[in-house]
Amino acid sequence: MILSVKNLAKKYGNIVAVNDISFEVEKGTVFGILGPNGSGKTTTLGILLDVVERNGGSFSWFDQAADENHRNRIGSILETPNFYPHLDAESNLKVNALIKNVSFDRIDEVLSRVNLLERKNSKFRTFSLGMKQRLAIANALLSDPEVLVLDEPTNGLDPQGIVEIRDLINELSSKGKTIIIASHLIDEIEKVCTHVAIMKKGNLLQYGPVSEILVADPRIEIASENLVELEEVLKKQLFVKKIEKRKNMLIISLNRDVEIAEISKILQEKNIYPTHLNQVKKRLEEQFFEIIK
Amino acid sequence: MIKLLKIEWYKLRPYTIFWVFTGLYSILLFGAYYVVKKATSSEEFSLGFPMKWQGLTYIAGWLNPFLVLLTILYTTNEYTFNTIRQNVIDGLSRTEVFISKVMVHLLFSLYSTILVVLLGTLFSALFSKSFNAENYFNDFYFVGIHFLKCFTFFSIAYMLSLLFKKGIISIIALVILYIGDSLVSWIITNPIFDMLPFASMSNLINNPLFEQIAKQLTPETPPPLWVFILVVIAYMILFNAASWFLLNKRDLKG
Repeated sequence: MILSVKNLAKKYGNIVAVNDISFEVEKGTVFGILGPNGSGKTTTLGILLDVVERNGGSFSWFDQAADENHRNRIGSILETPNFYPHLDAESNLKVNALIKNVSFDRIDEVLSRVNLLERKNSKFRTFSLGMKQRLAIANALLSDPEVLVLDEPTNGLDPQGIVEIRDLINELSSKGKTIIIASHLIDEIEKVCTHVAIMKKGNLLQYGPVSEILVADPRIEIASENLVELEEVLKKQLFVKKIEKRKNMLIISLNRDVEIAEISKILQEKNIYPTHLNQVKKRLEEQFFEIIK
Repeated sequence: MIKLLKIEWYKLRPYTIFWVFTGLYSILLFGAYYVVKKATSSEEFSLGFPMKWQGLTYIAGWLNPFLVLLTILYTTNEYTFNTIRQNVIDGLSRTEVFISKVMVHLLFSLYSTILVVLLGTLFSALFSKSFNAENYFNDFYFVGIHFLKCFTFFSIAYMLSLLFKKGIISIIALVILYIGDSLVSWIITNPIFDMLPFASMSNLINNPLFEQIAKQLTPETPPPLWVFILVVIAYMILFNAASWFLLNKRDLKG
């Protein structure tokens, strides 16, 4: 196990930032922590990286007791990119290279990986937000770590930068690296993660493989002359889980995949002729909002 | 240890304020010795040349705030830019973070001490008629005391920097502490108040001129020097322990 977290808790005064959360991250997975702003994602990662003091619980990296040496095997971004403004990109990475006992030769390599090589002699304070974020990613990659912890890695990046990061994560993942990503962007999590944990107000609501958590029930939009009558009929069907009423149609959530033809047939038997019948694509956002409601 | 020093060096080397402050400190110390040398021609004068080490280190003590200011800015910047947090995220332990700054303070103290010795030797060799080994080493122990005084001053500033995390607030706190401490120890003559941090530090190296006058004015003898040395060492340990505690027990955030 790369990481196991047991009953972790953190309070800021009366505010519970992290409430008794437990989860495990296996080697080679891309583990997403998904949640709205203020749900405790960064606090959780801060505790795991030893910059935030926990009030309870425990965690272990690499199945070993908590010890600072573990962070040499982890490349991390936490919140904003933090660098010395009076140092250039190269010198900033030299500081980390010394901390992690990595050869300075790696610096050019990671800078070119994030397209910052030409700016390696520019002072950090002259960087744009996107460049700062890319330097933070280069910093995390510096030691070619087994584990990457990325807190909102696409923050401040333009669309092209976001795609580059996504490709980078997929590439690292295919090399067997374990990646832990915190994000409030469901799209980001869905596209790169194998596992997801959903947090809200410090609580861990659900966690597991993305394919199990972020799956919406199949749904169908349906309309007819008489919506009341239509609803009466549909209510009685076993495959219907839930019916939502809209202005001039119903949206039904299904327990299982049902062919439109099958529904059509049932309705015809009751002399109802649908004026609109449409299968709705799964909407992850809605599923997510459903979970955090 | 070497690794930690290397890291600090990489941070300090391109830091303009570092060069400005240490440069200014060195020039001002030279200037101060030169002015005092010009002002005092008589050799009987204990502040005159051969300036005894007590006089040289006493003058140097007045310039310590320059280096202390620098270390406050240096430490609090780590909070302002959240780099202290990043250093730990990247792999340093909090104790290593603590030790690296302590080493910087030791080096600054050493620099100040070496500068005092070099300039003192230079001025004595050039301007003193009685420059010999006996005179030279007569009260050389003040050089060691100067080192202790410097490092303790840095230690107090370090604790305040870690406590307040903001440069300007730490500096104000230091000034308030200094003035408050000095006022109390001046106004209340009870010797207990001579043991306050800044009072005891300033009692380590008295103004050689006033010391002569004070001896004639007040019949009571002040506590011996070794008492102040022990008290200051105790403060030095106390403030560093507090710094370690602050670094280890709080969230690392600016």
